[in-house]
Amino acid sequence: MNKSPINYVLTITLGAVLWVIFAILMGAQLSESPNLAEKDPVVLAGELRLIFGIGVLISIICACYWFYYGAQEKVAGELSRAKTKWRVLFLMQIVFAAALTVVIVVMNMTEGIESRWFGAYFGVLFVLMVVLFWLTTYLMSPRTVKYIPFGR
Amino acid sequence: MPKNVLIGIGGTGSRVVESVVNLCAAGLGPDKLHIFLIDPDEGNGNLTRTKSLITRYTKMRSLFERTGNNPSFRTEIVIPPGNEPFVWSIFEEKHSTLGKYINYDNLKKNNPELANLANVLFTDAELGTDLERGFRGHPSIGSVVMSDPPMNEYPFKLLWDGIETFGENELRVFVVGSIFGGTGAAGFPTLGSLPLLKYNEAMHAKLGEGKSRILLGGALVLPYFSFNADGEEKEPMFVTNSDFPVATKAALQYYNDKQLGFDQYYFIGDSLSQNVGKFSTGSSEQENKPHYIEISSALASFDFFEQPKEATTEPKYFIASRESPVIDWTSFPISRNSDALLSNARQFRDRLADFTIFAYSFLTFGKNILAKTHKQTSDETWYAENFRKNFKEESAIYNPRHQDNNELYVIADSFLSSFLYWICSLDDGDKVKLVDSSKILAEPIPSNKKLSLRDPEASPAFIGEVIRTRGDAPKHNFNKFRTAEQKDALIQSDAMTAGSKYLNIFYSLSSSFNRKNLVNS
Repeated sequence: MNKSPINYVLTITLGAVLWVIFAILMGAQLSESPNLAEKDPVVLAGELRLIFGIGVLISIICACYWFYYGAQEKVAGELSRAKTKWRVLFLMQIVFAAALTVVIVVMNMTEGIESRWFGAYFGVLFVLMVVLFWLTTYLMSPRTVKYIPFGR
Repeated sequence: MPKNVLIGIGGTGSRVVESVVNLCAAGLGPDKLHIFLIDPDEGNGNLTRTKSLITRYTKMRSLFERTGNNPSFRTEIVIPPGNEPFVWSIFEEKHSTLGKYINYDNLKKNNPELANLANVLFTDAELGTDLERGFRGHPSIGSVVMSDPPMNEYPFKLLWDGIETFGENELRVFVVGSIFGGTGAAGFPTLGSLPLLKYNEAMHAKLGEGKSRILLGGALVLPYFSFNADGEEKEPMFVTNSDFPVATKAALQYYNDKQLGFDQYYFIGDSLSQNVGKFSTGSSEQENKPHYIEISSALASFDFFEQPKEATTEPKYFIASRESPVIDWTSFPISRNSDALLSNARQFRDRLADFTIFAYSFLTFGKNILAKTHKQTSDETWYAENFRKNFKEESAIYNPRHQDNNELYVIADSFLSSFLYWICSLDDGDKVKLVDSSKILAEPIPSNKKLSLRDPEASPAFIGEVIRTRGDAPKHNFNKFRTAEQKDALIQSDAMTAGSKYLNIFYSLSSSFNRKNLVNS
């Protein structure tokens, strides 16, 4: 599972599956349940699909970059740098998840959506970005950097 | 099961035994090998080095539990037990002379005819020179004093123990020494005389007419080195390079005429005549650099020990010679068996290459890792796979840094350093192209032999160039070593100490690295 291209393919597939689950299958619930002042729930659902898609894409790109970087032989000699790199990428997921939540908030500031729904959107983005990145790098990092992700 | 006994005689004999021990460490020897030495010069530097090496080999072997696919230290080397002598030093007293040995002063008084005979056979210098430093290139002295070894005492007892349990040719005795010096040239034909070993009735070697329990083999090492004799000409009865050919010719004529008990002879020599250092008549100063001919001689003993017990009736002759003045991995006479030649040659190179990289990587990277804490190293994949999951600080089974593992590391450090000294000393930078010592050593070997090794983490490209090969195929660097696949890096054993596991990992990583690095050569 930690060999190329399997790890790339599985990461993209898992990202796509999660996006389908949260943006499509749960999209109606996430857009129709909040009370909207003016906006059509269909429009909100479209916005959520786009934002969640961007989040998944960022996470997949970061994970794939980690696979590419970790598969290089020279990394065996610079494991502390690799560790720092993984932590930066991991933090990036949290920061971007928060930033994308802020984007949703800004886009819907006049709609009077209850804050718990913004919390839910952040939760979804957390899963689509932070959990996706951690899970894929935890399970499928190249051998050289296999023990760098948290939890190993 | 046949018993293998190797007897090294004199300085060359002990140096060949040094090569035998190093090759056994690399996994090339027989399953079991009994070894002892004969040398009147107990302080001889070559002898001291070999003795110390064997002691460390046996200790390392006893402490180091190896996995099934790790051939290193495979050979069980047996030496006399406890404080029993490992070397037959011939003389019981210090400062012996031939005159004292034959009671020359008494002979002059009580038996002048015999004293006169001694005068005909030996010069005054030969009768009166202190033999504590050996026979100084005069085998005629040695053959007198070595003719009656104490067979019931160690180290000879090692040879005879259990003799009655062996059938014909099942006790394989291999004698190795130089033909051109003193002790070897004297001891070789003396031990080879028919009644002494081959048909020794008192020790039950003889089975009947023309039959013996002993299969006797010997390697006569012909002149193969030169040395510097600056200022040493003042020593009594010193030998020089120019004496070697004359001594050799005389000895070969003797072997041709005299009927000896040897079943198989190996004549090994070299015309490159490499310089092995400063001349010394003996003592601790006689410590010469290792030479590749000693490896050839060691391989001759392995070839001998592999022979079937059925004696061949028809004489057979085998000749091997190098094709060019350059000595590389293919230059060695590996076996008389032509079917096994290629595979044995490959095995010879691979095992020595693996052990060299193992020694180098453990002494550098391996020790660096041990100097760090468990937490500091647990991102290293090979380390984590072996030690992270079940790590227990207080357990020698799961913690490679546990103090109970230190004894193994200390002996490994010492033995592997000696091995690297030996293999690096073979590299003359010109004709002998086995390993490139400049890729291992940060500085030339100092006189105290304390090696200064290159750090492979700081200079990762060098490790791939340590083993010299003919081709120009691109070589891997140290990162390849660290990124071995799990099947090579993971040592699965719950009973093995973490110290042994740690060493096995390094052997396995070295072997895996070499298979990738030397794939096209």
